[in-house]
Amino acid sequence: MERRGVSSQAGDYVRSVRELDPDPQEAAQIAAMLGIVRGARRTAASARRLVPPPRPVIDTPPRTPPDGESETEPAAFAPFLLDPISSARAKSSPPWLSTATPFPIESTRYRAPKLPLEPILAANKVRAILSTLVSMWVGEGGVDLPRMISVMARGEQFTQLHRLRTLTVRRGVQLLIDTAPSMSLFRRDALWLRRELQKVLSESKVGVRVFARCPIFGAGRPADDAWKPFRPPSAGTPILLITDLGIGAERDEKATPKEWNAFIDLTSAAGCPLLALNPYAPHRWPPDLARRITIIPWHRALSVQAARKAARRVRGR
Amino acid sequence: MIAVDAALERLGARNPYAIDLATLASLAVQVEPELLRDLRMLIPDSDPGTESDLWLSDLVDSKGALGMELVPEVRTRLQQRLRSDPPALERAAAAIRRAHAGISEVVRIEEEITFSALKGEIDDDQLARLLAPIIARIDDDGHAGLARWAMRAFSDMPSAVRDSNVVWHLLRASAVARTLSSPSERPRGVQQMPRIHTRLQLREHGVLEIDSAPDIDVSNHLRGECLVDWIDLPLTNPLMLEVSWGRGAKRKMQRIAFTPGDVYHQPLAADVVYVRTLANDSYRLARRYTSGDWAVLVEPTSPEFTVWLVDDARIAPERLLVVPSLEDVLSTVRSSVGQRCRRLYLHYAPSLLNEIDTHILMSDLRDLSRIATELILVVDTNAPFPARTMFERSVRGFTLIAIGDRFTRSIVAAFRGEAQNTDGEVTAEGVKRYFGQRSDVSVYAGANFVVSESSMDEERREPELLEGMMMTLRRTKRRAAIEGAAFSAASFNGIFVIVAGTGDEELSESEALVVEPLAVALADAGYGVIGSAWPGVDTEMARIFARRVRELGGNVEERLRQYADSSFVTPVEEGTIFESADDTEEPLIAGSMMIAIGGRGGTYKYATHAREIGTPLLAIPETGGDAAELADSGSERNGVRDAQHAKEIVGRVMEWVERQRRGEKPQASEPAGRAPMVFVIYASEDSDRVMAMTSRLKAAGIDVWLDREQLVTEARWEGAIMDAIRRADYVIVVNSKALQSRGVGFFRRELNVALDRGQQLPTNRPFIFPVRIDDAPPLEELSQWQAFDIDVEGGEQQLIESIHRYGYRREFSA
Repeated sequence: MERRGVSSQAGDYVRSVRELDPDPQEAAQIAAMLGIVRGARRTAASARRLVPPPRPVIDTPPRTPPDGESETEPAAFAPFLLDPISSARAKSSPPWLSTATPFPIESTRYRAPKLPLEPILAANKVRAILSTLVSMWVGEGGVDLPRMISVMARGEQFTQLHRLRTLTVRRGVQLLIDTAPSMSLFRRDALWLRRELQKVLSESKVGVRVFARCPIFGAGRPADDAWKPFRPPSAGTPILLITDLGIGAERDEKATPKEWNAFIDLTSAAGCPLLALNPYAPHRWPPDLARRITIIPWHRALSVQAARKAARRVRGR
Repeated sequence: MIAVDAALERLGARNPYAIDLATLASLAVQVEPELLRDLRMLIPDSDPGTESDLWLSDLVDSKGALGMELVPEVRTRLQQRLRSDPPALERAAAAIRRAHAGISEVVRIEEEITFSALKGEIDDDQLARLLAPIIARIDDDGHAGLARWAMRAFSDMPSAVRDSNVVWHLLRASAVARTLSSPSERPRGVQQMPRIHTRLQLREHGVLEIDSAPDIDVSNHLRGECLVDWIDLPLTNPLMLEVSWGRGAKRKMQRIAFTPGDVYHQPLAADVVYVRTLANDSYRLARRYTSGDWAVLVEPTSPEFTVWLVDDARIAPERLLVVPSLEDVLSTVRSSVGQRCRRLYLHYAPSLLNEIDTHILMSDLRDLSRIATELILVVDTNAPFPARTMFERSVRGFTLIAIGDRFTRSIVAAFRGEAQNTDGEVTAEGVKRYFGQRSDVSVYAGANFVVSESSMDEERREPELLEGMMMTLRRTKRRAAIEGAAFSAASFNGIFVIVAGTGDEELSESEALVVEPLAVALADAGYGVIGSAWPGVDTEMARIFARRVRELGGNVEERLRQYADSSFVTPVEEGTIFESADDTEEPLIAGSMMIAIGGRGGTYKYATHAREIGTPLLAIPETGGDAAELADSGSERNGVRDAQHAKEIVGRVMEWVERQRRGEKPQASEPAGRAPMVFVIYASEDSDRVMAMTSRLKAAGIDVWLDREQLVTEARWEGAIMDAIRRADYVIVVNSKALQSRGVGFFRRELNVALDRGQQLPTNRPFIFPVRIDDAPPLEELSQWQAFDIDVEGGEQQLIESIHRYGYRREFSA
């Protein structure tokens, strides 16, 4: 070979070492001159063993423990792959442990007291909001004098006593609570709302039904073993839904718009105003349903005025 | 970690406030609905739906009436986020303290420790104050509840807590307490525990392997050059080890819990680690690592071969090794060099290069690249040398040092026309450009790499070439070393193979027999695998492939891709998981080829899609289902007979994969010479017209199945016809008045079979071609298929062109 690259010296090096039989230091110098390595770093004593050593005995005299040991380059050939460096069998417990008093047994018992629930609606407004939502017009106010005078002026006979319109909660409300898994987190909130409604209207005026996904699939009293097909209450009784309208549900677990529409048609035909409290922000409400149901954001920021506005959409001004 | 990111991203896209809420909640051990409300109230503008969004999200590990717990990895990630926002951390801590004032004390302690750790104010004194009574209680009476709590609580704690010596004592006490339930059996202290013989090995890339199988055969592991050693661990539940590495500020520590019988792999990226057992015995575990250079010279010494091994600067007697054949060179070098060395020069004597088998040499190089960070083959020959083959089959981390005119000449010849510049020189840039189209080849051509026929004899060129290549090699090696890429046969060759198959959890015996050896073979050969994260074949393939890659010390995240539909839970959380719709083309484009195993319909569609976009497809017919349908070999539908048969099949598959990798064509679905076959349904009254038409079809290279030609030797003619329709690529229905005048008849049954068959096939190409030969009205059953009127000019030609355009329907047969 007349022309050489850097690494091609390796073969020559092997040959020269074989011929000259140099000592390790000389060999290192030859290698460095040929450019194979920059310098010798190890001696013959570092020659590795081809067969691993026997298993180390745990009781080997301890070496410096890891925390205090000065880190060196990994040995080229670790004579022991696994060196015992300390054995602390005789060590006693640390002082902080040996002086500790055992944890009291009674403190180890599991305790899960019922935590107080911060209601979704502001407590100081809830009665006003709920009574606003479920109030409906009835012609049971004072005598409608202008109208009576008008009848008299026309010389007509009184066939009925005309009365002024007034808002009343007398018709009560049907509370429909969605118990689908996507509403499970709000179960305690729904119970709280039911109690508040009962405080406003009296217990007998709040009819409670539970359903899952959409009432069209059936509904029942909370204690019922089996649900029946949904039947709207008597005409004029408002229905208040507590539902997420399937927003939190998986795609195949939510009712379709068609199914919701069937329910809405049913309540509409029965003359029952329909309102829904929904825990999600308005931009997430299904637009098709938002057009047909008066949805109210079930939110701490819900004001009496906003509730009134929503109620007007249902019952008229 | 990818799954955590994806889950956070999904929830963030739905409701960004929910991420803020999850971050606050990450401080709590358990989050009751009431606490969730309190925490949500801390986030202005958030609505109650935010609580539900988090509650129902996949960040939650478990939920129930008592509350929810976040996925541990998610909790850790969110805690990091919370740590960076001290006011939020304080607000969350206050809310949690308020809500949890009355619950179990250990839970409050755990939350307090987490809070202090996130604030960066935890120290051993504080931990000792909080935990010493608990440790004392567990030591005292082996309190099972506290032991369970400790094991759970501290595995997910911030590292400042986990690494504490106080926690080590807590875990020790808990592991001992959990071992023996009866107080009378419980030993006083860990020293009296029974021991289990445990094998430790620090493998390549600093992966610690722990094997504590009770029935492990020690003799197997102590033979030869294996890098193992043994310690006895106290037989606690779980077994525990503390592993630390690095020093000073860079010191890291990890506590590892595992159960007897498990083979545990823990990447530590260290060459030396310190191991501490629960008995407080400490060990230093080192990887066998040679830091120097080695030179290997292989010389012929009749009748044997001499291998000279030069370790850095000295030559030791045992390094002069005599081997009986060239095939033994590799094992000799491997066993002598050990696990790893920095640089290895392999210099075959010139006389050997004239006779050495290139395949053996390449195989040697691949294997040697496992142990050498830099592998350099010194080619010193004037003999013809397969330069291109060497380049194209080169493994990462390998370079050729070319010496000799003939070799230089062969480089020029190899790249003539493809890597030449305008001066007719083969340049580094040209070679890189040529190889740039391939992802599996690294090119180590230096900046000065210029070879031209005219310059071959100029002496100055060669040193430039060599030095340039060396420089590039070193750079590439360094970069790859930093990236942790393995210079080994376990390293990724850059080619992904898509494996698709049965998506049911229950695999057939044939499928199961093939999946495992195929996964291992693909991993061993350096391929990557793409799956779709379905149960069944995808899942099994991912699981076995990931395990094998890990065994080889490869990078699973790099080599395994799972394209999972976002609505799926990926059954095997391995590799890199991409969210994608089920019908996306992305994996098909990322994969270089596809293998189909079994399948129940979906595989057929997926494979057809792959074929359409030009991805080579190999269906394994022995696995049945769609694969048999796709392969249509018709010969081996009885499944895989046994494991040996499965291996043979996998061998055949791997040959095909290798052919694809080399770019041998045709690789796609069309075996040469296979014409599309059409079955013709017609009324016998129209025989003359039909015969005329079919003769022209045949002349156009279409295989026609006509009853009057085929049935003469068929005794069971009805069965034969039905079978022919099912096997046909297409069916031509010759619609005529004569046909329609037959209210009932055998043609109706033929038509029904054809319609049934058409229903089963993908809709992206026609199966039935209605052909009109007179003014008969169209058949109602065939209204969805495009009809051809062969009476009009060009009508018959259109039919022929359509059949050719869609071509042979079945996929490439294995």
